[in-house]
Amino acid sequence: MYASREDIGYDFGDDSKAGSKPIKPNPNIDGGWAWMIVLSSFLVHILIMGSQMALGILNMEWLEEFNQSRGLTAWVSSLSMGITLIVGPFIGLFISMCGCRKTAIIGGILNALGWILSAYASNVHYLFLTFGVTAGVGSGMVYLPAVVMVGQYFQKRRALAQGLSTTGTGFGAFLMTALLKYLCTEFGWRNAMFIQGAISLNLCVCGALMRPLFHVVSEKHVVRSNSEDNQAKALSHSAETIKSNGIISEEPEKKEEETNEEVLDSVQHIEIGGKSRSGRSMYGLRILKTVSQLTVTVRKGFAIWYSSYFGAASLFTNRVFVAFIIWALFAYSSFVIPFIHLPEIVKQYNLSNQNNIFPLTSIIAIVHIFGKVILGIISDLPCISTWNVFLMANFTLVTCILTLPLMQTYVTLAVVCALIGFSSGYFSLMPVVTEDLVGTKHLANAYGIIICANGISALLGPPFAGWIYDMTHKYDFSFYISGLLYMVGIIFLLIQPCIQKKQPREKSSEEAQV
Amino acid sequence: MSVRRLAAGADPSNNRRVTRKEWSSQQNPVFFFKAQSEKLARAAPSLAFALSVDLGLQQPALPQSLPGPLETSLSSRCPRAVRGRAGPAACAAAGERQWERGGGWGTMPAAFSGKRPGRLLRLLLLCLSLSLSGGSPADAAMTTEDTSQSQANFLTKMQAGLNESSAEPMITTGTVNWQTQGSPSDHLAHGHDVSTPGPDPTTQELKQATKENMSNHTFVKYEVILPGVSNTSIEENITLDSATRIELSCRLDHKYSHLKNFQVTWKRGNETIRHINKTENSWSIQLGILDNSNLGSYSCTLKGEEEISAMFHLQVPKIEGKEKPIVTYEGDTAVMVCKSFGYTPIAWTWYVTNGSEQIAINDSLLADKYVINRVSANVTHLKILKLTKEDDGVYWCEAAFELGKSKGKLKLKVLSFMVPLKPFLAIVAEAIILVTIVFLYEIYSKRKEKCAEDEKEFDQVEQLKSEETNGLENSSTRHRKI
Repeated sequence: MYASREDIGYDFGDDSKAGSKPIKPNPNIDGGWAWMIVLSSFLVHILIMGSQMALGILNMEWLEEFNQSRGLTAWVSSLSMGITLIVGPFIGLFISMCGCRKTAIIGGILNALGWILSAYASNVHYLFLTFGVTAGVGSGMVYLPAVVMVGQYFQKRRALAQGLSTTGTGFGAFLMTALLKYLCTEFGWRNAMFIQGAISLNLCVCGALMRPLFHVVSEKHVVRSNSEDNQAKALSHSAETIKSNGIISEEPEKKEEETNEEVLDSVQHIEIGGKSRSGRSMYGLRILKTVSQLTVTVRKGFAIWYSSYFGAASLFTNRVFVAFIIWALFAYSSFVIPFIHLPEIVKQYNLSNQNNIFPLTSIIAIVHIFGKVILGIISDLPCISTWNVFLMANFTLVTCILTLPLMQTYVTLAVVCALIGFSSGYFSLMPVVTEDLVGTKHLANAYGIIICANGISALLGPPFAGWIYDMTHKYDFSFYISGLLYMVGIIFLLIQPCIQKKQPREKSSEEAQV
Repeated sequence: MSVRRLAAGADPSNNRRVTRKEWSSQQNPVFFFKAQSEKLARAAPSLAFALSVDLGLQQPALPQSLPGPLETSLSSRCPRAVRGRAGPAACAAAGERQWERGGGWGTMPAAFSGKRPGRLLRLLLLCLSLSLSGGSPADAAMTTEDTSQSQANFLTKMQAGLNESSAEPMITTGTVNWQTQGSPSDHLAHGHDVSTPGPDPTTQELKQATKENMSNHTFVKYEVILPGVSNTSIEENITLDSATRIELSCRLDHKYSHLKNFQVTWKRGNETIRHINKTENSWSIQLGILDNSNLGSYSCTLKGEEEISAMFHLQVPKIEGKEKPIVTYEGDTAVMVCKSFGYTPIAWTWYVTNGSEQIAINDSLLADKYVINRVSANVTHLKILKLTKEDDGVYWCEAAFELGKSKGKLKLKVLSFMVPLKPFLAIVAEAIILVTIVFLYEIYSKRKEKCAEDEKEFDQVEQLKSEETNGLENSSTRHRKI
């Protein structure tokens, strides 16, 4: 859990009642309001990722309007997508300071602003600034909280929830493409972007739905029982294994800090109440109080964020996590390469007729949606570890990428594409794996780094593929090279058993308890 | 079957003997290409070249050896049927065969991976460069047929109506010589069987044009090679913008010369035209196109056991408008642009559609509303000032050529400021309402929870109180509420 003030419920009164009060798991976890969070995340994916996919239409309009080179115009859309992902770590800072909800609402407003300002663009460079940067940052500010909130609200069904919410990408692509096309033909592209800005304001609605999670009593328990009970009781936090032990021990300190803080505030409150009733001094004191609260929040949030990146207990000391980041860098760049080359492969082997009936890219997209949900369900099963499912999906994907150049008929290509679509459903498992590695508390910062790595590779992937193609003039090599890079990334994942020194002991003790 | 425009132009400034040595020394295709295009650019406008390049060779070669943009212009060079059905492999295969027949070149590998630079690549790239630098027919060389018999270069044209061209290298041993042999028809008959392999016997279209200077008019020749099979219809669009003398001929491929006992008729509509039997296998008509009435469709029909026919469509150049409407606002100014590609019209006229009729726009009459500007010879602008709702609709730009007129369509959409604003405000309002609802619901449910919790705590306190009946002080109550 994040230790930001807004996320903690104000119920610290029962210090003396240690142990006698039963653990009351928050009813909203894995049910209740959690499904609204899934809905909110689904809508976020539709609006943000869908708009990214639908930028092809706007790209054509910009080409016609501004008469710049294709490369320059294409940079607007890739910049927007890249920035959405790359600002991840900084959004972690926001989340630590203000909480998910405020970040999402501000992000929604920023995104809408970006779209509306782009409607008045006079050249492509203006578009870089308004659409690429502003709308990109806004999208990033909504995207990360959406994923993180789902991770917080679900313990047992995490993978399924993530899978369900990320299917919004696929639906969004269809929906937003149709919508943008209609708006462009009806009103022209400038008005279309103007209206799309209003539609992006719905991201604020999604943000409003992200109710902060109040961990009431179970937190207290963690505070009291510090040592051996820690792991057993904290099972209400996460059904899976907690790999980062250090994080839990950090929590109680934070709680006590907050307790003191709260007491201080209450004392102040009483003091203020007891003093002079003159409105002016009360008003002034209230302002002072708010300001002091704000600075405390900001300072604390910054401290948390900073400590998770640079401190001794930083995320980077977690070696498995570092391996995971490196994998993320390699995986994404290799993933986009097949998509770029598929149309040309179709032309090369003259499969246009069959492709027109059922395009290969649609096969990938449709199977991808199913893959996400199914892989989510599978990895939620208590007997199967998410990590293993993740690894298997990765292996399947890299095998498919490496064998794709060898396929020359439509049927074999379709089969390979279906496999690619299905195994790339592991995207829904990434937040789950991240959460398993670093714990719920640091999920925002950790996942921020992951999507930053994704963003970097998404930005570098297409040009890299084009560069390989320019050098070799054959599609095969780009596939082989990207497959190789992917293998390198997977190898980093595979060394996890070797670099995990302390964990195996902890794991066995935990299993013994359970 | 194929269409050939017989080329008989010989520009002396461009006669060259290209030796094998010279070719093989230029190994790098890209540099060769650049050099050639530079040479072409420097050459006189009356360029007369004709290349016959194997169409099939180009398709697989280009993606590998040349940058992207050229690909699109050249993918059209692959024979239509081959392209459509069998793909690049068939093109290459066709190429193989063609080279074999052409003699002296040997077998070309189907995957022309650029491993054999030299002659073939040079040929390829020469053709490329020509096609790209090809200009309007007015630029073409005018030489007589007689002069074409001497050492000549053949002309390749890229015109609006012509989308495929090919030429034939005359390869003699030792040196590469661009030469005609005898009459153009002989030349065409020589070893250029571009029939495609296997199931596609038809539609590799080749054109070569002959242009002659005869008094004030240009003289153009078009030839179509008829297939032996009757199920395909061959049509050819020929674009003319000024008065020309034209000769259309149908030739039966010598492969099918076994067909006997047939009758050839040339027709325009229902009216039969007298034709000349140029050679044993070709029949042609000569026409003088002087005005619009002479344009139309001419057909030649071979009636034997089967009926084979080909159609020539003589047209004025087409003007393209815009399919997407131009979106403007009330009170704004709109500029509509019409372009003619390749041909210069004599005059431009703009029409506005009022109901069902088209009214010419007179900009001298309504000078404060319409401004017509002929920016350059081929481009015209119509500027409409102070737009109102009535200006919304369809506009036509008409280009007048010597032989007729052609129109382009443009659509104008005039919106008021409120039109896009209304959905915008509606959606913003909806977002705000939803946010308010969500927050209100949350406050409401929190209050309910708090009430329920208070009740529970109250009950628990009662319980504890009843438990500790011995008067033990219950300190919990004091700590409970903050």
